[in-house]
Amino acid sequence: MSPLLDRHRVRVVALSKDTVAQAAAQKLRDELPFPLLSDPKLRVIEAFGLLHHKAIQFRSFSLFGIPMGYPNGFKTMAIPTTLLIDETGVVRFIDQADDYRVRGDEKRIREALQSVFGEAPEAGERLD
Amino acid sequence: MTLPLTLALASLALTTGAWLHYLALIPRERVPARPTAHQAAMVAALLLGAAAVLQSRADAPSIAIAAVSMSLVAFFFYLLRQAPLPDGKLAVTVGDPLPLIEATSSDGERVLSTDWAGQRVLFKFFRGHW
Repeated sequence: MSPLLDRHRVRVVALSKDTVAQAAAQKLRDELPFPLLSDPKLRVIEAFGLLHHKAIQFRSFSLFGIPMGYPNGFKTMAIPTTLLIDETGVVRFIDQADDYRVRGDEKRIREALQSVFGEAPEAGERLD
Repeated sequence: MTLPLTLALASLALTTGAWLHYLALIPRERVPARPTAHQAAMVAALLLGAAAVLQSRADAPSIAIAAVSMSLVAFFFYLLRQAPLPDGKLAVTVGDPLPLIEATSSDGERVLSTDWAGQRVLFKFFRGHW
């Protein structure tokens, strides 16, 4: 998805309830090229009305080199939600997950990018 | 090996296999929205476990193994029932200006959403690390 975002000149920023140390560890582990913001006191998440109190927390572990996870109690965290914001700071698109197990719908985001910002210039094409 | 014990072990093997496969998908974010195959395996394991209990004639090992297996099945369906998220009362709608976001980056720097003026941003709230 990254090339399409680059062509639309859209930067990605992600936020979770993780501490700074946890966010730094995940960014390093998953080699994420975008900033991870930390909101351990859930201030931003609560301000956006995205608290999910009964989310099941999973703990990861490795079994014969295969990354796995197991349920480890309930925690309060953010309802997975994606906002697309334009250059003027206006929210142009919102996508919200309805199932905590599955990732956001890339197809909807692709369509939103095209709908909000028009066709992306091809790689190498002048943007201005 | 007796028939009840065989049934109980088959049930446990099926449950454990389905669970391990499902758990392996989680950190890779490959969990299917509708885990039909896992559910089918769990139902089959439940039936095998029930058959083991019915055939066991108070054979304690068979009953114990079947009970573990059926508990794993019950826990799987319990977790699936927890999957749907509540309807978030999102404080913004399309067309609203983005409310001020203030947070700390993984580098320890204070970040304000006003820093993104003039930029297009895909802002993701996510559940956090695995």
